[in-house]
Amino acid sequence: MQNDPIAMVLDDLLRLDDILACMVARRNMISVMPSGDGFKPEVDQIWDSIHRAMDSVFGVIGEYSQIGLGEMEFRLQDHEVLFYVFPDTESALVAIVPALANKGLLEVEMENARREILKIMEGPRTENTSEERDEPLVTA
Amino acid sequence: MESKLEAAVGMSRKWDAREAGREVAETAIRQLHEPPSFFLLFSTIHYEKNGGFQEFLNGVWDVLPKGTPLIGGTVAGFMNNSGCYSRGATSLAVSSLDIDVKIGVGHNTKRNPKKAVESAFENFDKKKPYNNNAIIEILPTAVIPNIPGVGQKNVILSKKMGNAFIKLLPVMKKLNYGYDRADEILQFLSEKFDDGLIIGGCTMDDNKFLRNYQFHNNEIEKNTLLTLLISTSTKIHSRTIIGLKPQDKTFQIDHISSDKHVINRFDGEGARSALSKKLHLKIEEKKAVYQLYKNIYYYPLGFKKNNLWHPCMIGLIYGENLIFGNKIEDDKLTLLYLSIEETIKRINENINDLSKKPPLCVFGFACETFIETLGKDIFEVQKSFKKLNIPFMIPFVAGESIYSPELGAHHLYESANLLIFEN
Repeated sequence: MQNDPIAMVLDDLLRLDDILACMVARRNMISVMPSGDGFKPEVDQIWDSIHRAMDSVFGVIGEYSQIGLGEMEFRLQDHEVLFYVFPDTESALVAIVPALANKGLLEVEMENARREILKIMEGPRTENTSEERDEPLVTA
Repeated sequence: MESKLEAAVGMSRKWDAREAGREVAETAIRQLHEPPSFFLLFSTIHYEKNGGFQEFLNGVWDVLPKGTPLIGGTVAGFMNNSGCYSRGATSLAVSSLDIDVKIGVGHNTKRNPKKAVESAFENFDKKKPYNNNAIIEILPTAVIPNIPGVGQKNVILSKKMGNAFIKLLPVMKKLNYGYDRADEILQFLSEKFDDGLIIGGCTMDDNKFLRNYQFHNNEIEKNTLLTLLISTSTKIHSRTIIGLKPQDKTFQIDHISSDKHVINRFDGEGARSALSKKLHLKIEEKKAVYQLYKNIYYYPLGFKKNNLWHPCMIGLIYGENLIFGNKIEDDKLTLLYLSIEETIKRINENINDLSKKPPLCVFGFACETFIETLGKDIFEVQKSFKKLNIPFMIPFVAGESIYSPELGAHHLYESANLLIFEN
């Protein structure tokens, strides 16, 4: 568990101030949690309600992910729950954030996390696909 | 024979400030054949709590050749060849044998913008070694102080309290809080540098408007104007991208402050009431400053100057008073609409145009609102830039300045301005 690369991606995400909890989940199951002490204490009181609501959302995700459902979100009291669906699956990267959070900046990092997790899920790639990492060099 | 300019983009996603500093420098300069002639460095605010910015800069200087001119600052996020990010650090290292670079520094931008510009220009010669000249300008955005017992208030509904807080604005200016005065600074800069290009951005944090920092060489600054004067044999030009469209609603200004930032009355009634009524906007006092801005980003008020729409961003609402980040230079404001479709269309038009003869490198500043309004489409914008197959780096900032002799001086919001180093 300690070396789970997906857990490490979640650990990074959880270090952001406004990410109170994050996980990879599907209906009735949390597949991967961050590797540390769990979620931030701000979600302790509301976790049960959010967890139940998540299952309802995963019902929708299950129905529509195959035809391109990308993201969903809902608000419960002072929190928002964001779902970034993994394409063609019934799983999603889920994050709990304060309702007053600056979502724009968070969404960028959620998308980055989703892409990283997808790469991990897809397995090791060949050497030729390193072009995303290289910065092109311009010379005389 | 003319020596071509070389450029390389670096990046780090490390959390530790020192390690990130090393990595953002190393990943850029290892791609260059020559030591860098200058180094642009931007990071998100996260290193403040993960080692501090001094450690971050120390890490950069563990790697960067001593004496390399460096300027930069904190930004909300950035876009480069690797992707889009709202956490991390990025750099642009440029080297050329035919380039002359000077850094200018001016302090207390909010208290005395004119003096800040004069200080920044102290060491600049009027005579420039090459024909292509540009200034990259970095300065701080507005800060809304967190007052003990009161909090960080950008909306105060009570007219009595609002009017009392308005009286604090001159004090805030003296203490280097309040509006950035970037429009005034750009005007002074353009008077001193009227035959070149100026491209500027306002440093910021993560949209909390609590603090932001500027970097030059090994120094961390607040409230400081930094100018990097580039004189080069490489041709350069600028491009401005604005996706704003005027709507049918206008607001006649009845009463405005002498500094042209505070509007008290529109169309015969209190400015806040007029705004709420006309736009069907519910304005509330919220705990987070962001809650006001996310509502108004899409629908700024604005005026036209030299053929460009200038959005006027509401920074504070105190009672009936609307306090704008920039000077209002007309007696009537028009409701504008930020069209995502138009913004993306203009970005793609410019990229398609550039792809006919790909430049050596693109650097620019884009408004942080692009992240807010484009959402995931920001990744599509990055993909479009990546097709150029050249180094590019675009930090997301809180206010963008552009000047050219043809365009005039414009301090804008919700825009993107690009500096193109031509091939």
